[in-house]
Amino acid sequence: MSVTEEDLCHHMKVVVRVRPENTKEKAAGFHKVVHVVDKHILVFDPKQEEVSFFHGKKTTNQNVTKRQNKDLKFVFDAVFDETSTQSEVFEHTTKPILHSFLNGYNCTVLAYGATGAGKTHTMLGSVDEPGVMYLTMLHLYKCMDEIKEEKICSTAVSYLEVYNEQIRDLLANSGPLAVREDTQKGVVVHGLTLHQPKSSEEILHLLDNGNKNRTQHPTDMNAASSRSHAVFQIYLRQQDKTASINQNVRIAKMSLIDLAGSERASTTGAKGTRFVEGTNINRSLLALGNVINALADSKRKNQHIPYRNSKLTRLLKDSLGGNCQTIMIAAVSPSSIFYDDTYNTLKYANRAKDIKSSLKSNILNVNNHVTQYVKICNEQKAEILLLKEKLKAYEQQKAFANENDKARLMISNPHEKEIERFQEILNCLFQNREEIRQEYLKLEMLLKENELKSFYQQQCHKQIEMMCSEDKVEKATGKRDHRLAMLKTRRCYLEKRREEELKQFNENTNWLHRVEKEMGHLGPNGHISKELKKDLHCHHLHLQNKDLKAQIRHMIDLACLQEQQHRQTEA
Amino acid sequence: MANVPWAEVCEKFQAALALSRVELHKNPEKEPYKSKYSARALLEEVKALLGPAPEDEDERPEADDGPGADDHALGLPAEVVEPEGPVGQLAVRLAVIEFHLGVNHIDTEELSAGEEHLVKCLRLLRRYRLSHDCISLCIQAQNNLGILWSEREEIETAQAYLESSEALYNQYMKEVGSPPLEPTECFLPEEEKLTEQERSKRFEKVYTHNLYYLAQVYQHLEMFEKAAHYCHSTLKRQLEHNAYHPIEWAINAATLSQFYINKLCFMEARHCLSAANVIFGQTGKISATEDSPEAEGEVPELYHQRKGEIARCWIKYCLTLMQNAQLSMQDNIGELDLDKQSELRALRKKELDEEESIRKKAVQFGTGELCDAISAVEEKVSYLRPLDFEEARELFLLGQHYVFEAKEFFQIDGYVTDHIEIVQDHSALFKVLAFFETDMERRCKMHKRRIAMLEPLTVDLNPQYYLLVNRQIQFEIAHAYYDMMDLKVAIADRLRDPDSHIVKKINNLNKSALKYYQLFLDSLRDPNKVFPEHIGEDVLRPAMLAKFRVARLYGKIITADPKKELENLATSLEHYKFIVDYCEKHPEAAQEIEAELELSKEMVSLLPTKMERFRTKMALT
Repeated sequence: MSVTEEDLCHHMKVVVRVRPENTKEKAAGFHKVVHVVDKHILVFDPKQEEVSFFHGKKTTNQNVTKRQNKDLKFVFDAVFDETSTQSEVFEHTTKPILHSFLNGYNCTVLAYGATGAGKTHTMLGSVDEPGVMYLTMLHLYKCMDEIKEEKICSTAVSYLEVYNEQIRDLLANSGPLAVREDTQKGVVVHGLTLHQPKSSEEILHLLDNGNKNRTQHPTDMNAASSRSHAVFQIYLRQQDKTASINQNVRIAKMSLIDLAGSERASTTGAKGTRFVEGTNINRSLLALGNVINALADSKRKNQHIPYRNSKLTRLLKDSLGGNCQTIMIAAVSPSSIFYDDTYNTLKYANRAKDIKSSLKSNILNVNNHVTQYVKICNEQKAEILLLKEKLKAYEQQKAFANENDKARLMISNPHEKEIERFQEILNCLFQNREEIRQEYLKLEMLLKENELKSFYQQQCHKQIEMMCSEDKVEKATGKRDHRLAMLKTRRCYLEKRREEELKQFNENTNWLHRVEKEMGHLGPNGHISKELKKDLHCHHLHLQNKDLKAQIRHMIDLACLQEQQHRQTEA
Repeated sequence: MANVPWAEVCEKFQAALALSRVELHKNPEKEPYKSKYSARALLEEVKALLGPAPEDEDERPEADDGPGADDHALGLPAEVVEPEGPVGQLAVRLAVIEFHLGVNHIDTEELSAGEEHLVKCLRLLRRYRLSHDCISLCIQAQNNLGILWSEREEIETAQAYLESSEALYNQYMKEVGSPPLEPTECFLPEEEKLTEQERSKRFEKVYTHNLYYLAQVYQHLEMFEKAAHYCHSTLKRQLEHNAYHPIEWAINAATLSQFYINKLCFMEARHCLSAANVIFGQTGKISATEDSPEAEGEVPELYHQRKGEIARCWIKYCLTLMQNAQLSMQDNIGELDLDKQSELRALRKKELDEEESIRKKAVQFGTGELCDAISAVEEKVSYLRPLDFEEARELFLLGQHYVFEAKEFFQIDGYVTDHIEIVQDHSALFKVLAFFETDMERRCKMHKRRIAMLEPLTVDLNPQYYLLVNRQIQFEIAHAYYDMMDLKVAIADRLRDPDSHIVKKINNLNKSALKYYQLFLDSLRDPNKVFPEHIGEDVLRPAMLAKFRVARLYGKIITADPKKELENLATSLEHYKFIVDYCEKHPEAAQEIEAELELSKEMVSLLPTKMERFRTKMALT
């Protein structure tokens, strides 16, 4: 199915066909204004290379009226030059979409171009060179033949023309027909006859008959100009052969359209319109309506009511856009007589390449939902945040669990897990206790040192008093007082600290008691389990040990101090 | 020339005029331009009878055609020169003939010949352009050249001609002012000459045409504001000169209003629509205006269609005005922002003060009675953005009134797409009204109404022929259910202990929203029911949005069964994954749905862990 997906491009495929110059044009000596470069590119109004006998000296003043060469390059999906055959055109236009047609898509092929550019030749052709319509039917029959094993297929065709905003059946004599939309059948032309040709001859015959009925008005310029749009529609109905209750019926419609000469087809669309004097002014006001329509159209398509829907657009409502495939064949003449027409056709065809964008806009009006959308985003963001938090918590837990993985493997018992927990707590508790204790001891030591220092000071002072003169004593007294005051404040501070530490220690002791009690609960009838008891004991001993060690250290410090003092006084 | 009887010339000319006025469809089918060709022959004869044009020595060197050469000729003449003497008179007469020949050629699709004649006509008139006798002819010739060039899609050239016409008219009215001669009068005997009044009327009409052509040209140049201005002026002048068909005029005015609506000029839009209503009401009363002597008879079908179309324009007016108000008053999550509301309230006074000055600036239709009638209609409708529920409700009711009126003609049977569009507008009206409503229960009811009107449509429509419409409706319904669900959740949150009833309701709404999103997504499948690998860019965003919403909806289903919840989470994840995978494969899709993609990516990374935890929790309990 990859082929169809590839082909399901949602824009209009545009191909250009250049017809050969006819004898009249050749005889009249008009030059060619279209140059086909390759299968995708053509140049309009190429720069003439008049390297002639005049040695490049161009006769400029001869061509005052002549326009500057435009030398425009156009790129299309395909370009067919003068030598291309009908079947070549068919191969590259309708044949690729026949496949999707068989898959149930609506398809549309439009032929566009000025009068006499070869639209009708391309679409209808002649007996010797049948056109796209005929070739399409032939191929369709062939395809149907291939799948007739699996599916029951039936086709029907209709042929109508739109002239002066009136629809006429070309295959039956009838008055103007009305278009209406049906909820089930889509766009329906009331009273249009359907025909089921059995053979290719019959198709040719039908097309031929229909063409004779087409409205053509010769003018001085054109001997045979079709002034109407001809619409040839093929309906294909497929049904699975396997008999089942829910029968899968697939109906598709292919429209092959030979538009009226573009110079007429587009007068209401793209160009200016005059008031035609002498006729009803209001009738010519059509153009103003078109202008206003185009104005309202320019920005937001979805807001606009196109009130001047032509019959043709109504007819094709369900054949454009969506899953429908559209191909436009632009026909141009290479001769310079049709300079303007060719230029306009190419310009239009070039624009048609972008038609997808205009279809796009009326598919879904999503913009309306944009504001609600912010709400959704916010909600979603909140949800994501929540999920993220949860995830984080989850991961942390997981990491923690990993640490104790080994232990957990050994102690699967919840009781033992508890013990472990208490051990942890005890660890923590005793660490704290130890710290407090150390601090306390240190403070104690500092206090002792302080006392000692003040004692030495006094002793020293007494010695001075005994040995020195009075004024010197006075000076020393001031000094001593100062020192003593310092020591005293220091002592106060240390005492306060000691108090705090003591309090903390008491708190710690309380905590310890609490833990002990809890541990008691854990064990059988109020006794702390052996393991924990041992642990506790171990901690206590450890603490004592640390205490003693610290005391020893402090004693040494004090002894050092004393020794120093002695040395000083002795010296 | 003297030996040619003047009477014969005149007679031939009149015959030619009469022939050229024969309507085209009266010609035999095989010869569409028969009358035109015979008119041309007569004109050629007259031209031959009049003799050669007077040699004008200072014109010779500049005699060349082509658009560039006319540029200097388009400048305004310095002074008024009257064509006097036999030379001048002959020149004018010949110019008239050339003009008619030119128009004749254009009518028969021979543009370049037509151009030649018209240029010749202008050349003959060059010196007398501002004169009493020639001004009208000159403007007409230039107008026709303008249209000719615009048909060749050389809009700039056309614009130059037409703007020159406009300038000529303005200068003439300033410097001379008296009603000029109508060109055909040259060939009328003295006693049949037109009255001053008639002349003035015809001249004004020529100017109206000028404006009308300028409107077309500006539209093609995409100078839309200018084009709208000229359309507006054309319509106004039609009213002034009583040269209009009520239905046509009304529909044009109504359509013009849409331009103003898009430009958010609601006062002008209201004026156009009100005028359309008033003029449309004249249908039948003034059946025969000056320009349509043969009354076209009652065309009830067309009458009703136009009535429906004007009603639709009114709907759009109400809708856009309300939506515009919503846009200016909503916060970033689409709820009513009270600060902005009070801000706008404060502004309201200023707006009212400025009303007079804006009104003066705008072009007003009609005078006297007509003007009063129009303002009577205008007074009933506000052009200011509604600021609270009461004001919004008024607009809503008006819009709804027109919805019913439009539906009368655009019935589902025969006008499927139009009918559906109207229903969609009706739904949109409810939606924007819901924005102004503060009571959540009532808001819910409004969404319910929307669903009630949209749901039956999907049942009837053939999903193949109405693919696009169906998609729109499915999306819309899904969204309405979605909104309702959100509202119900909000209501449930307010209740202390939501009962099982409301939970059930929420789940039902969720399910319905899911159903319609799924329908929408299914419509993207090809005939073999395969979801396309590559989503067309026209439906890419909606498709992705639908996927995203579906994912969210699955995540929001309330269920007590952990197994089901796990299942829902898995489905949700699947849809999020789809979005992320699709954007990886099609990078161009990523920029269409930037915000959603980001959220989807995060959800894809987070949901599995959530599900994992869920599973462990399930295993534990």
